Amino acid sequence: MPHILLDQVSKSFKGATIFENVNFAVEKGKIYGIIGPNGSGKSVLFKLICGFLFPDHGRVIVDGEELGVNKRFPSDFGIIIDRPGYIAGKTGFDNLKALALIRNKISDDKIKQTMRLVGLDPESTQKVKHYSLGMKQKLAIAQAIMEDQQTLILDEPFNALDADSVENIRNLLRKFKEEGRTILLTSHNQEDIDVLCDEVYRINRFKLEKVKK
Amino acid sequence: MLGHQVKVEFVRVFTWRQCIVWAALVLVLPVIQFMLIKDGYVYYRQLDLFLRLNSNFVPLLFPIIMVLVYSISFPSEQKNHFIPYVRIRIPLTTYFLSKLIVNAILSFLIAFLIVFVPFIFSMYIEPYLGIVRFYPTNGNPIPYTTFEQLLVLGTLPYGVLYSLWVGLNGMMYATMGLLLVMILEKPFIALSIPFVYYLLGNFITQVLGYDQFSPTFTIFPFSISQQPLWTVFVPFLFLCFVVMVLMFYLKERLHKHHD
Amino acid sequence: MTRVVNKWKDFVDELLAFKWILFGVVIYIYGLSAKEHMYVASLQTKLLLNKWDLLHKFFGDIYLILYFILPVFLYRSISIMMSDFDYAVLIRLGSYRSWVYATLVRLIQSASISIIVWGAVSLVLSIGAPSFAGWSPFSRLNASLSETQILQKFINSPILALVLHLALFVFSVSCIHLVLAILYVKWKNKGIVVFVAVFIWVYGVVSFKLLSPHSLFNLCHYLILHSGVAQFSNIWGSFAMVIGWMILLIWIVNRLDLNVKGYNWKYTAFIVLVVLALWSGMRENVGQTVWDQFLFMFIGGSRQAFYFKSFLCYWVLYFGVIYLVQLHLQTELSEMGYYKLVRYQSISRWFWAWYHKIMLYIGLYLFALALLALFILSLKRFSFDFHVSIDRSVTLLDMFYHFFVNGYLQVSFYVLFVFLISWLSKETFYSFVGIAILSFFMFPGLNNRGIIPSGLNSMAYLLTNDSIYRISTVLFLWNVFAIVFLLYVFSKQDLDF
Repeated sequence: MPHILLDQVSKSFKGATIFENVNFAVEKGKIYGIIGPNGSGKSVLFKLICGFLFPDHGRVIVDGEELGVNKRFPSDFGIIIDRPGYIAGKTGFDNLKALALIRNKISDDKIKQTMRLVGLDPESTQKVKHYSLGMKQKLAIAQAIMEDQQTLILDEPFNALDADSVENIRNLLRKFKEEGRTILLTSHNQEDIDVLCDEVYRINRFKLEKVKK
Repeated sequence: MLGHQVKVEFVRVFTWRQCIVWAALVLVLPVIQFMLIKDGYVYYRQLDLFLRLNSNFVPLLFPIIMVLVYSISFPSEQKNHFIPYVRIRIPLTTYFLSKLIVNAILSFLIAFLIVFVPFIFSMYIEPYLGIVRFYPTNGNPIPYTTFEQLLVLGTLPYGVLYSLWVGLNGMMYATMGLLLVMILEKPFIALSIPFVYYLLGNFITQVLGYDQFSPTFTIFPFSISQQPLWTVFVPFLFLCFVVMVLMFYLKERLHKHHD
Repeated sequence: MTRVVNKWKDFVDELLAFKWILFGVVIYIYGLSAKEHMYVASLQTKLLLNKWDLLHKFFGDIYLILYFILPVFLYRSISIMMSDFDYAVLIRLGSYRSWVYATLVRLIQSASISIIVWGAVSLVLSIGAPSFAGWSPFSRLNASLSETQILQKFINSPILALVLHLALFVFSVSCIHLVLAILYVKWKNKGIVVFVAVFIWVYGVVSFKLLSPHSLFNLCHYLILHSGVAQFSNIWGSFAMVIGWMILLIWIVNRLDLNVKGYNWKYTAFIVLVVLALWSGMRENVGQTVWDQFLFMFIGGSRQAFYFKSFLCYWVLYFGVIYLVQLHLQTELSEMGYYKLVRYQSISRWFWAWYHKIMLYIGLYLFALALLALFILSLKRFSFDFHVSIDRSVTLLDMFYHFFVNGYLQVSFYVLFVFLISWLSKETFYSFVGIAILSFFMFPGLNNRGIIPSGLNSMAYLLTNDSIYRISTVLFLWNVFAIVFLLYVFSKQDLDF
């Protein structure tokens, strides 16, 4: 049974078709790359997988459960979709803490550890409104991985990161893959896709097409 | 092609059995109504008899009668998968359009006759038979109804014009029914919607106190005092609008299916 | 432990924030002039007021709530939604439903803080007034000069009145928040939500200014207890309405996460129609008790009394539900096939399985109908005395017997009738024609002996000299006849689909 399955999924917005009868299966423990031009529907795809949007036709099934029947959003997913909204007047740690409190599964130490992992200083008193774009991106990555989520849905995770940080995050993702986690990511940088992904798909004419590697 | 197809449909539909059904639709209800009302009511004019004949059954069942004229036969074609065979012979739009035209003509005729026959009977035949007793008014007010404004043109023109009006409305309800059968896959819902629409129209206008615009009273004005003629066009135009929307929708759908 | 301490710390931090101080100041300034008014009124009537009068004034003043508190809450509600609507938050909450409730909890936290501030300011303002000692002489005056003068007539203790008032207010604000949150989840569009919030506020003001004070559509009746009490002449009308809304909204929230394609509007439409039918059935100038009106709502028609409007209402209430049964039957019969029958082994067994469910639903429907009717009546000023005033010979027991037992038998017969015709003709539409024709036997003169099972459960039969037990017998025999006939048909007919 595939981990994530899109079954005959169609989606359109105000008459503009984005997807038509898409079938897509995601196996556990692999890194998937999605490429396509701007506006081709990469983040729509991710929103469908996460249950934020329902398909007009077809089903999205995660771990054997169809979204929208008993369950809305899949559990144990770490996501970066759109720009995460932060409480601008709080520190990075406080922001992560607020998110962690929702499920209340991890300790403060774990949050701090994750922050160091992505290259942020947990003890810093700098408020998020003074963060650079790259730091905000790191914070976004931190929230997606801090609870050891087994599936990561990352829309442009390398945006605004400097070369060292990109390398650092790539290594992190490789390590996660070895641990058996599943990762779906998009990037406009072909290199990220090439060096990381096991399978690459392109959005073309409302379908997902597998790209030969 | 369309003309030919209409002809084919007419030939297909004119069977003895069907003609008996139509005759029954036109005659049975008015006859029952006549039996019920010939005694026990006070009539001043021949016209009162006609109006009384036109109350109760026909006004309330009107959309159902109209749907029974022709639309009811369509679901069986759907059920028996007749349409795919048609499709390879003529364009579906032509086929549907021919059905709609035949349905419109037939339902118009039936609705026309359903009032025109009682009209002829009560105005021209009944006086010879003398079944019903008429009373002098003795100063009692005669209850005038809508459309009697047309009486200035003469009795027969009134009868014809009024019957035409009923025919036109009947045609609209029948068309609505058939369009819905074509659009929806469930014949029961499709066929019952005209009646539900009609009944709810009555209900809502009654509740809100706008009786003069109720679907029933603007076609069969027996139970309401005389209203200005323009009022009857309000629900009619609304009905036309609904039918037009449905038609447009069907057209769009057929196009989509073709592509 | 540290978490609890932290939470309290956050709470206190929030409490001392600048915005709440500002909030308090505005109330204080308004309160000063309101206090002045109260003292003038007290002087004019030469009756002493006490702290309760002032507290009720500050907490229940229509102008203060409508022009200041309500906008503040609307703003707060929207700002909470905007800040919390984030995919990283949503994925952790697991569903939109949890998100809606999470924002509601935050709003209620805000509401508690504001009520604390509001209360503290009110207490400061009431310093110097005579102390709390039950309702004051001023509030016992038979007038409507102050909030307390209205509330005192209905509630024994002033503190209970205040608690109820605040509860009503919080309930109402929660309802408004739920409406906004549902809209936001559905459309994810700030513009729509802001527009609706502004609309609610403008509507509140306009309904207060322009509608008559006795209009049900006045928003103040549901935000402010004394206003609602004045409207309904009881303390429960406002609560009934608000809790009714709350239940509806919670029902919607619980369905937010379901992927229902093409929402089925038929039940909603049906409920709206039923409410309309019941509402229009009331005859306010005839009959004073709730039971009179109950009778009118279901009056239908008998051979002696017939109104077209009542007939239409009967159609909606009873044939409407039969229509839903037909819709259900249509799918049931179209899906009917050998595979289903093989499992049931015989048609009659399949039929009983279906009919069992329907029988239960009929009972539930009648029960719900009665409750809904009483709920609507509680919103009007009818007396709850236990008798029928328009016809003393009708006892309440007769009425309930007729409504439930004859109603049950009648509806059950309609169902059997519909089933029989659908089964024989293989086309549900003919059963619709059949039921329409059957309904015409409610017209005067067509059912003189009362033996045709059409509309026999009309309340109009209570007002004629028909025996309701005879009606039961007639209906019972028809039911038996229909069932026997059905079983005969089942045994005769070959299985052919």
